[in-house]
Amino acid sequence: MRFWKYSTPQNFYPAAKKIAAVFFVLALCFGIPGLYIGFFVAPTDHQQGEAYRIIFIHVPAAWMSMFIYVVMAFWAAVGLILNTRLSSMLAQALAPTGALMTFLALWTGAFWGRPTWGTWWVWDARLTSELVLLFLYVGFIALRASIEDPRRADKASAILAIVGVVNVPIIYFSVKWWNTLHQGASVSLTKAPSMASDMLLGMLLMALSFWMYSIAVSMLRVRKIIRDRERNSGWLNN
Amino acid sequence: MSSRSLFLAVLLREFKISLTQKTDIATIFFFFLIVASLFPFAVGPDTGSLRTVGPGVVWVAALLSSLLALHRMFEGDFIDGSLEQFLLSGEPLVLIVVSKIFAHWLFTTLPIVILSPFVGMQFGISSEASWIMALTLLIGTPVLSLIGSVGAALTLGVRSGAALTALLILPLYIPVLIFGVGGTVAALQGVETTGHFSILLAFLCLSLALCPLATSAALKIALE
Amino acid sequence: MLELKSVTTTRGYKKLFEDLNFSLEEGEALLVNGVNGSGKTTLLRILCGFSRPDAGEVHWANKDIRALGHDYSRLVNYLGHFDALKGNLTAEENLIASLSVMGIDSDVATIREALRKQDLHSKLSVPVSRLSAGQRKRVALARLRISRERPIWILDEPFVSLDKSSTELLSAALSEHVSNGGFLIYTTHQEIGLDVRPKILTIN
Repeated sequence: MRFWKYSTPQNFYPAAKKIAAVFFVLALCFGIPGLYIGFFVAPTDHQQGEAYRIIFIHVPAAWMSMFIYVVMAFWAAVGLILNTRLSSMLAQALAPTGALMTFLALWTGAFWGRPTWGTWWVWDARLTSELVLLFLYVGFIALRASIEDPRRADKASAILAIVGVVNVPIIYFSVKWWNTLHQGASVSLTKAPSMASDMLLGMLLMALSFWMYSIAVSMLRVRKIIRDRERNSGWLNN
Repeated sequence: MSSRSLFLAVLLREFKISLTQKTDIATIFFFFLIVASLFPFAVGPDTGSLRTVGPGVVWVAALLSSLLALHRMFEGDFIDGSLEQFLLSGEPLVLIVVSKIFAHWLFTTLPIVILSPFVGMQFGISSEASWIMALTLLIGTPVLSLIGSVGAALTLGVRSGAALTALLILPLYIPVLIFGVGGTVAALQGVETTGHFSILLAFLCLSLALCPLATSAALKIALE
Repeated sequence: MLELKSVTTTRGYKKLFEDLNFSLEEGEALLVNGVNGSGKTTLLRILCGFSRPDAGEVHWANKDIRALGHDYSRLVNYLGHFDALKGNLTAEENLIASLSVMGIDSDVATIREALRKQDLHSKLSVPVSRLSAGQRKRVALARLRISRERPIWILDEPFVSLDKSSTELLSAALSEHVSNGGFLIYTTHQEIGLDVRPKILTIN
C-alpha cells in the first residue's frame, strides 16, 4: 500500500517538510480571520467588557492541550505495540507542543481570572485539571530526557503516556467532585455569559488554526528527531 | 508451580530481605511521624485549625512516606541481576510483580496505617473519625503502591530516578488523596462515608487490574 | 536447534552488528568473541529473550522465542555480570529464595551439596556480602548446578575471578553439560579448554 511507504523515517523525512508547509499556510488561513473576528467582529461582553476576548486564545489552547495528549498517547502506544520507530518519534514530537498549549491555557486563564475573579489563580476544577495535565506532560518529557537509549525511552514513555491517558478522566472527575464539594469559583471559564454566534465562529476558527499549527510544528520537530536519531545510518547524507 | 505457591515464595523472599533492612523500614516509619509533626509548627497549635488540616496532613504524610519507599521496590533486584532471573523463571512476571508490590506495602506502609489513628488524635480528630481515616488509608495506600510501582519500574537505572519517580507519580495520586481525605472529613462531619469507600475500593480494583501489567512491561523494558 | 536469523541490533545511536546468523545443535558449544563494547553481552541478552533485536529473530526448535515466551525462558540458565545474590543473605538463603521463585524443586540437602561441591561448606552461614568475588561467583555456579536440567546455558564471562581449581571444576561441568546434549553459549577472555571444541562467533 502506498500509505505504508511513509511509515519509515527515510520516506517520511522529505514528506514531513511538505506537510509542515501546507499546514502552516492552513494555520494562517484559519488564524487571521479567527483573530479578526475575535478582536473586531465579536461584540463586547456586557459583564466582562473587552477582557473576555482572551478566550479566543484560552479555549482553543485548552482544547488542544487535551487533544494532543490523547493523540500523543495513541502514537506512543502504536510505537510500543507495533515496534514502529516513526510512531514513537511522532509522540516525542507532540509532547512539547502539548505542554506549550497547556501552559498557554493556564497563563491566559490567569490573565482572564485577574479582571474576572480579581485573582490570578483559583482552584477551579478546569484550571486545576489543566495544571495536572501540565505535570503529566512534564513527566513524559522528563522521563524521555533521562533515558539515554532512544528505543528504551520510546517504550518507557509510551507506558507512561498510556497510564496517563487512563488516569486523565479519573483525575478530571475527582477534581470536579472535589471542587463542587468545596464550592469553587462561581464564574465558569467556558460558559461565557452570552455566546454570540460570532464568538463561536471566532473560537472555532482559532481552534482549527491551533490544530493546524500543532501539526506543522510537530512535523518540523519530527524532522529534527529523525536527523538526530538516524545520523549514523547513512541515508541522511545522500 | 501454582500461582499461590509462587506468590508465597516471592513474599517469603521479600520478607527475608526486609528483615535484613530493618533500618530502612524504620526510617520510613519515622519519616511519616516527623512530616506529620511539622504541621503544628507551620499552622500553629490551635486545635480548631489543626483539626481542619488534620486529615489532609496525615494523608499527605502517608503519601510522601510511601513515595519515599518506592524506589526500593525494584532497584535492588535490578542492580544485582535478580530481575533477569525472574524473567527466566518461566513464571508470569505479573504475578511476581503483584507479590512484590504487596510485600512492599506490607513492610513499609502498613506500619504507617496502623500508626495513623494515633497521629490523627494528635490533630484533635475524634477517635471514631481517626479509625475511619485509618480505614481509608488501609484501602488507599495499596493503590498508591500499585500506581507507584509503575513509576519505580519506569525509572530503573535512570539518573536521579527517585526524584523522577516523584514527578511521574505524584499527579496520579491526586484522586486517591481526594477521596481518602474526603472520607475522613465526611466522618468528622458525621456524614455518610459509604460513597467514599466505594470509590476507593473501585480505585483499588482498577489499579490492581492494570498497574501490575504496566509495571511488568516497564520492567521488561528496563532490562532490554 | 537454536538459531539466530539475520539479527541486527543497535545500542543508542550505534549499530552493534548487522545480519548476524548462526545455528547451534544439541551438544554444541558456541564461544562468542569480540573486543570490549562489541556487543557480546547484548547478543547473549538477545538469546535470553531480554532484548529485542531491531531486525531478525531468534528461533528455538524452528519457532520464534518471542512467540514461545515462558516455554523458552524455562529452558535457559543465564549467568551475567550480576550474580543475582542478596548481600545480606547467606549463600544458602540466597539459593533457597531464588530457586523457589524460579520454580525449581530443591531441598536444603541439595543446596548444601551443591555449595559443598563448590568448596563453600565453611561459608554456609556467612552473608554473601562478606564473601570474595570468586566465592560469590561460586555461589552463583552452585545455583547453575542445581538448575542444570535446563538445556540452554548462556554464560557471560563465567570464568572471571575464579581460581585455578574452580576454573577446572567449571570447565568440567560445562563439558559435561555439552556432552550430555546441552547447548552452551559463552564468552571468556581466558584460554579455557573444554572437552568439546566450541564453534566460534566473532563480532567486530
